[in-house]
Amino acid sequence: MTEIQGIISKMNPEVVKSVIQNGSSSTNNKSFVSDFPLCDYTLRLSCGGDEKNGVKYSTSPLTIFYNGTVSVFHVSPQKAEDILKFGEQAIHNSEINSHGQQYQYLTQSLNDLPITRRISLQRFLEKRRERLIMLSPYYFPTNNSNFNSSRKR
Amino acid sequence: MEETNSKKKINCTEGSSSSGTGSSSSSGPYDTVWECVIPYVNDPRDRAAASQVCKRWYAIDAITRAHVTIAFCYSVTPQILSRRFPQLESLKLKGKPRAAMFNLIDENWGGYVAPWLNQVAIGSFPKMKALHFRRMIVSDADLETLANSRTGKSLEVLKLDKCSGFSTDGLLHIGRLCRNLRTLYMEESMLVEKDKEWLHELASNNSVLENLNFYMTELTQVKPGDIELIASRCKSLVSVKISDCDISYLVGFFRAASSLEEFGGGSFSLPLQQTNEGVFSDPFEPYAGVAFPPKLCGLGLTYMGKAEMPVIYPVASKLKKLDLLYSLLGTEDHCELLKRCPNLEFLEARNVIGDRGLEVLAQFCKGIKRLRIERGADEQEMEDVEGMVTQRGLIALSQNCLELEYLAVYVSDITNSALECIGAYSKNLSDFRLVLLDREERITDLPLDNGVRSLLKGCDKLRRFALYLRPGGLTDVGLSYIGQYSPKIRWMLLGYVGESDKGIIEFSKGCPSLQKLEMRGCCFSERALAMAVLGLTSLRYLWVQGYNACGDGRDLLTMVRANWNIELIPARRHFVHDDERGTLAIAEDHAHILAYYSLAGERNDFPNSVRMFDPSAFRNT
Repeated sequence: MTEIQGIISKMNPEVVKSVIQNGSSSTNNKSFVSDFPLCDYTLRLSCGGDEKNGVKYSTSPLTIFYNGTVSVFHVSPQKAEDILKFGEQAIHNSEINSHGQQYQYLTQSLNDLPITRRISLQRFLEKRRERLIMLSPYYFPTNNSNFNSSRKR
Repeated sequence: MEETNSKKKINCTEGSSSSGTGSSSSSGPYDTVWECVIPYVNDPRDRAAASQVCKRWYAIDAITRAHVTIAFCYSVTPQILSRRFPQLESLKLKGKPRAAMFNLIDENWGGYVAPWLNQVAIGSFPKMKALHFRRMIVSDADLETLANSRTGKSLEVLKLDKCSGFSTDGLLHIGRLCRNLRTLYMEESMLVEKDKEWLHELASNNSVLENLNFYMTELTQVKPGDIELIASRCKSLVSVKISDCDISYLVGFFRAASSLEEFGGGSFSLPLQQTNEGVFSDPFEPYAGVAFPPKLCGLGLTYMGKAEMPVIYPVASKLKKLDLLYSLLGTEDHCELLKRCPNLEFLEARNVIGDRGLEVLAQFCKGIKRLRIERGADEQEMEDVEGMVTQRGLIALSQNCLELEYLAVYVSDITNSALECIGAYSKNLSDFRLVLLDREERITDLPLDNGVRSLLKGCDKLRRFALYLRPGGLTDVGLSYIGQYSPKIRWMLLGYVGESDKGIIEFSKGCPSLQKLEMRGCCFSERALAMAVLGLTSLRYLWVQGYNACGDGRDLLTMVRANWNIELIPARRHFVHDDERGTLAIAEDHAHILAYYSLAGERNDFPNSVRMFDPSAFRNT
């Protein structure tokens, strides 16, 4: 739950207030722990609203901790997504590229589809970092330092 | 090999048939010739073509086919395989998409060996001697089943290649019962270490081992004594690659392994503690007594730094294979070492090797055939300042190392002329992979349309090709060049190429041999992807992550066809820690599409994160 606090604490308080106002009308001040539904719902491929063919999507609880209060809203996955996006914009203030929709998608994608590393190399680099810490508890990375210079006599 | 061939030879007397297929029509002398020739026809494409000539030749191929590689395990069932090739001696199966090696696929995605091993265990493949599973899920129970079966008793090769799901308990069964193993390979597998007994079992029960590999596994309780025991009992031991174990403990092993040609792994310990004067002892001292076996020509030592590097010098001139991926060397150290390796044919290193290291290769290692340069750490203080590979290094390399067959490289900068140079000189190149790192904002020379065209036209032996760029890296025209000039390429990985749907459509009009396509970070719509699939005549496997999904996926209906399975992994979001900002951020896992030909129907062992594409969901809308 501290994860959400971290996000919310970065948001503009006015934004958060308006989001809470726009959320479901039934507010519930019970503070119970429930998993943030991000991992449970699957984002649909569509960009539609809360309804499809007259069928309402089922809602799940969205819990927001803010300024000492806890609020729970029952929202659909789409609504939750909208709220997240809203919050993200408040944090990141991303600029929209004016070269057309597809290029815009690409430039945004570059940030959230990074080149991932091979697992074997990732593990090696992590172990190397651990070794450096073990080598000297006071190891201080500096610019232009060849790794080996820290092991010279 | 000759032995196997003559064993497979069918009785070559004129007009007779010992295969007993019951076929009444026979073309007499032609069949006889074919029966005598077929044991020497090994290329699966040749075999496939021959088997379509007539029923008789199909039958002969069926009972003489010795090896099959199933490029994607869900394309057939074990039962189909055993009916088609009952006399199989060697089987290679691949499971999870390649993206699994880059942490992009859930562990429980699928690719279970159980159905295959069960088929083997019931005796469907009486001649099976070699099993190779790559990126698959293997359980201890599976290994126990295998070890206890008749096949297990005579098994000669077991490769659990980047697999997961098993522990040392499973290996205990293998070590105890598979006494004919020549090769036990587990490189990069994720297995749980419960104890160190398995290695001792293997050492005690096996005297014919030739290849032992548990490189890049998390086995930490390896006893040097057990490895030494294997070396002394197995006189044919040729290749050993292990997990971390200090090299100074392996002096006895190296002395015992008199036939050893390749060694990988081990480790170098951290320098000894300070003395009273506050000076480090000589880090090389513990390793001064290490003497490598006389035939050693392949080496890769984990955590080898500049101080320990001299341990390689006595054998450097004999080295054909060198693995520096997990070393702790700077650019200058690479140069120092590579100067001493004139016979090098296969080198793996991180990009800390730098352009200067490539220039040294160009000057001293002109016979190099395979070069893989991986991406090092991103933080500048963790790697050498010179540790970047750019067009400068590639040009020097291609102009001087004309034997190059395999080149995979992560570059920080690139130009069209570098690619043109490769096209002009690297005439033996059959596998080329280039990834443009995303740290530098400005790249010298983009787009790479002309360079890519020159490379593809010049390297006419190319079979495998990967190009991973960034927006603006390759225009739609450049993408159409790839389609146009890739007659023999069978596998491609494309990242951030093209600008619009037009690009992928044009691309799909070419690539006549393309069987497997992987794409990431595309700007293409679902409709364009589906149309491209229909255009690529040889395509049997497609994986895409990051595409222009707008709508509910109905545009994928375009590619619905018989025996073509379509799986989706919907996008999802999760929290990650943003190291730069020190806050939590929301990361998006983009949706995947996986589509493949299959004779097995839809699979039913998929996790919640995977969805089968269901055309009927769109019929009423």
